[in-house]
Amino acid sequence: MNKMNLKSITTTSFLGCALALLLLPSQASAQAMSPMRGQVKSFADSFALKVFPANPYTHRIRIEVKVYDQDFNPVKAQVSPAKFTLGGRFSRPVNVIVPFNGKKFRKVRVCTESIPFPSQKKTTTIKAQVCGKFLGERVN
Amino acid sequence: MKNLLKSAALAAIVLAPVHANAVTADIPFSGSVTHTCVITVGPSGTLGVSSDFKTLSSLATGGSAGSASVVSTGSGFDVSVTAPSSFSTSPTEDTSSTAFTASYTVNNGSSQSSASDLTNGTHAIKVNMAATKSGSNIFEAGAYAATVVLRCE
Repeated sequence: MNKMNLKSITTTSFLGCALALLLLPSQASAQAMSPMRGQVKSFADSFALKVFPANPYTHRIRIEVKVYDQDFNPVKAQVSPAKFTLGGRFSRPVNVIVPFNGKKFRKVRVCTESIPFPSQKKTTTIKAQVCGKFLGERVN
Repeated sequence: MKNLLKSAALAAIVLAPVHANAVTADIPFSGSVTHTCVITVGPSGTLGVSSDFKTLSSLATGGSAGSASVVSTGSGFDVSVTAPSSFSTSPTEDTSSTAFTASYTVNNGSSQSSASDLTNGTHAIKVNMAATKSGSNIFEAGAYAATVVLRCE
């Protein structure tokens, strides 16, 4: 292989890498959570859940965990922590305490949502939301 | 010296194994796959404007759908979209009401606006949205941005 060919291949590779970097989505964010189904029995006025939001990719993402009822109305539940940053390929436990509000059964959705970083706000048009469905039963 | 060599050779013969047995052992491995859904948001969509300036839509000329990938590790999951209720960015002069709609396709199938079942596997999702003015209202000049929620549950 002569020197000219080597130079042309090197230049082409460099331009290819630069183009690939430019074409990478700037706002890629991933969302996952487990478990996504569950049934809990409780003797108290509220029931507790533990979910594990996960970031299966290599970059850091910001996450918010929210609780909704069956019609996607917000539920006043204690979520700890409700907002946090998760490193690549990490998951962490989040505790959720949901009041029964006088009912014997309560169905809720616990949703893990991505929060776009401020610098990327204007480019986001899709917000990922992964929701688990949980049923709480008051035993007493 | 000769006797020493003979003794060493005899010892080597005596100590050598008569036959080597091949021994096998099973080494168990285990693992599990969580029943879950993973959404990866891809490139954002863009909104084109209709010739009468009454509609901003990703399906209009100059617009493009947003994309995402949804991986489901089991059955029983639904995918759905929720249209925005307002723009996250819009000109201050734009004060007339706007109606928002959102739809999506799974693996380039037909367009849907309600929830649909996901099968096990990786699915390519294209998300579209439209914002429409009614009556004599039209969109003011300026930049507009909105966010559609893509949900897996």
